[in-house]
Amino acid sequence: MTIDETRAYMADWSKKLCDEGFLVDYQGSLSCRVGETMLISPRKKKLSALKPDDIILVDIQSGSMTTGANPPADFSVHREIYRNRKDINALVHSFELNFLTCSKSGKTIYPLLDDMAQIVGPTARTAAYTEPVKNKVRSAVVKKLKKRNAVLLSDNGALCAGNDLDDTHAVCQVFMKGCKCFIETEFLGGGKRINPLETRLMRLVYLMKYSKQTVENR
Amino acid sequence: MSINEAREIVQEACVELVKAGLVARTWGNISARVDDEVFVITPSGRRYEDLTVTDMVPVKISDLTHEGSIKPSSEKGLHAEIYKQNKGVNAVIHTHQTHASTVAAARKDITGIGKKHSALLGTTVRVAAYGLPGTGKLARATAEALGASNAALMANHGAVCVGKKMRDAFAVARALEEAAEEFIARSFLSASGQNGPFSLAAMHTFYLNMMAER
Repeated sequence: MTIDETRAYMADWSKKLCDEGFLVDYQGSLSCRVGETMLISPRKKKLSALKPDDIILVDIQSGSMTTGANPPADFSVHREIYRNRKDINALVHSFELNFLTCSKSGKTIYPLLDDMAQIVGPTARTAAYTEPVKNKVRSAVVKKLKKRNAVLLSDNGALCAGNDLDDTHAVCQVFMKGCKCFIETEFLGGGKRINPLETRLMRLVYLMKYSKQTVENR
Repeated sequence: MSINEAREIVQEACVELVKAGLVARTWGNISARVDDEVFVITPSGRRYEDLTVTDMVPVKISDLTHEGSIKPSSEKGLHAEIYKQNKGVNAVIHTHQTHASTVAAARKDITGIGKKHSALLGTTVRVAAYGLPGTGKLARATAEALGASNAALMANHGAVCVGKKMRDAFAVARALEEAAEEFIARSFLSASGQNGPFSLAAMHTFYLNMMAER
């Protein structure tokens, strides 16, 4: 996809993610990698009505961007992830209620459902997060996201990651359900944990085989 | 029923279930019985919105072999087990629906189902023992929990809903989601000692206070 195509693609996804409650106007952010650059939603813009021209272009290595651009407070976290994870090309920072509650609890979320084990990873951990974002915070987020597709940012919701925004949307859906289970099973006598070894096995099978079926099984 | 008729029923169900929010993307699977030997099921790993009638895969109940180059859902064994056990069942829907999955994550039966849903669900929906996805263990445990009822929860996974016709299984899936939501709300009010009506915001606040005290 070209940069212009990606801008339009992000504007479409921004509306869809707002419709589903993963983004709220003026809260949260989304970004995509295009080659050596990153495109990211701006601060203080209505995300449900985001226009392609509103989106900010950032050089991933240097961090330089258009003069006068107003990036979101977490933009350097997005950049740091793209610098460290070549498998990730799209990110969504969501303040959805289940994410927010889990990020406030500080708990490590272990999968209570098979699909979270497959799509998010063996656990989802919480990284210490404060704004303005400093180097220590960026490193912590990258570290806690290692070998996973989502990380909680303390008191600040979740950062979901994928190969593209469609993939990242799937991570948002599955991780949101995983967080809901984690919270609500507390009132059902507690969630029953899946064997950690089986969790890792499911993740491996998903990455190596099942995730490729959409294209291959035709 | 012919294979093509079954394929059409499954394809229409895919559209309806996505619209109703009971299935999404590639998650879950849907099948319809052709006769005592064959059923037709959604393919493995494909998005519901992209599926055409010819993508649906005929599978033999006895040995799980399939026709054509498109691979059937990896949960074909679960569907076969149910068709073998319940001769009156002609449609099976396996979902990852949100509220039912939440109860399944606690490995609890849904109990105390009220009049609104008991005609379809009975007063209890049982949860099956855990098995890894796609395994015989999961298929057998789910069929056993289902017994002669219309729905069962699958531990840490989702739910299975059945019917004489596809529209019956669809109605069961809808009723199950409502019953599961009510069960969670009732359980929260009982555990927290709060009076109704249920509020999601109150549940989250209570949860955070509880975690802070631990």
